[in-house]
Amino acid sequence: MTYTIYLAVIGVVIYSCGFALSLWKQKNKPGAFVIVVLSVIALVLPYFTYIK
Amino acid sequence: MKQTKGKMGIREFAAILFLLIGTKITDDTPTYLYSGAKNAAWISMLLISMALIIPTILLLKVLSVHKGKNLHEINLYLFGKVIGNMVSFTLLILGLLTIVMDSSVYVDIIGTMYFTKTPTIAIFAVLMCVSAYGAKKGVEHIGSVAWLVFFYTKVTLIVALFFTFKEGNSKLLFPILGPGVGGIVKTAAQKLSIFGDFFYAGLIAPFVATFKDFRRGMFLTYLILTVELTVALMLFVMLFDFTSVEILNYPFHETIRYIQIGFLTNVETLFFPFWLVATFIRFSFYIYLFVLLLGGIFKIREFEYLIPLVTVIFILLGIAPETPLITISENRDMTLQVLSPLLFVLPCVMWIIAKIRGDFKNESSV
Repeated sequence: MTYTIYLAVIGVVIYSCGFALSLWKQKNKPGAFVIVVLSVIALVLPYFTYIK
Repeated sequence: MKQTKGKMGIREFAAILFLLIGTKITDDTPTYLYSGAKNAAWISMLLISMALIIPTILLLKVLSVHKGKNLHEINLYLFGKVIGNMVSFTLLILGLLTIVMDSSVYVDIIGTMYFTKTPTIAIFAVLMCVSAYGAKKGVEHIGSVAWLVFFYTKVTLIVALFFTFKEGNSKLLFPILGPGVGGIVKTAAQKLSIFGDFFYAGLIAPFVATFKDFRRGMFLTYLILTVELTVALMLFVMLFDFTSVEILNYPFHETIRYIQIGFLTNVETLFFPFWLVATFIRFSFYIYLFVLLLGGIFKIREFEYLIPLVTVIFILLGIAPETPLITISENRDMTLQVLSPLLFVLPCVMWIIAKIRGDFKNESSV
């Protein structure tokens, strides 16, 4: 189950980072930065909330 | 998946609000009212409704002179860029807490009452993924689906409440003032944010066809929901008495398990599917509002691309508490208390600033 969760999270993070990249190219740096921060939060959250 | 950029009519808008706030009677919200106001919880509900009528009118007044702008844009206009963004960010964080805790409660309801053997993470994933799909389709679709299921959800609720009334005992409503006027007023003041969704609805004001529809939708739902929630709170006391209803976490679900329709038992299977659809719509709308506000604050125009990411974060935060019944109810009670004064004061402050700035002078769009 842990692998499935991480796989799903990584998929969503890749998708979101792609969007962050497109925002960066549109000169919306704060927006891109927020998405990257949220992506990092999404990556570390399973460790604290699911695996523990 | 393309989002439609059309507008909603009064039907769709009202249906969303009905499902958004109407479903609160089916979760653990009544418990917070019963724990403070005992058998007079229904009077607290009436007081909440009466207390929030002025902020709601003031909010509508402010929205009426800023047609085409949503709540965040009005915040920026009235408070300035820095404070406006801070106000919106506070609303965003409180919205995040609300979504995480509400979703935990709904997953707990499904997990403890209906799907007892299914892992929590699986229920959470299904609930939030379906809601995220709805949110991704856009607010117009959410409105259409809400209107489609509105009739069925309300009919099943009325049937449930009718049979509750038949089996209830009206003497249990007495003494009418429960713990006394002080207790009732205190509970009402602390739980004002039960109607907080009316304030957040300002975020979708530009998506409603005309402002007249928006205003009429707000007043119509406000009135009917007040009656609906008050009657439901009375009927739960009539069925269980306040000593029992106080310790029931989900009175509605206990009610539909308790009542019998003629020779039919286990009638909860009749109500559950409609409640589930209403839940999906509720969280779809919450996710949509969250990404709309997040996109507004950080100037992300195509905010719908944020939906998968925020949904993952909601799921991962929502599964954190090991004992949702205890942890969530404590935290949810605290969130309701923090949100209550904010949702009462903010529309008043917005109206005062708009008045000082002279926005109401010609009552035209600014």
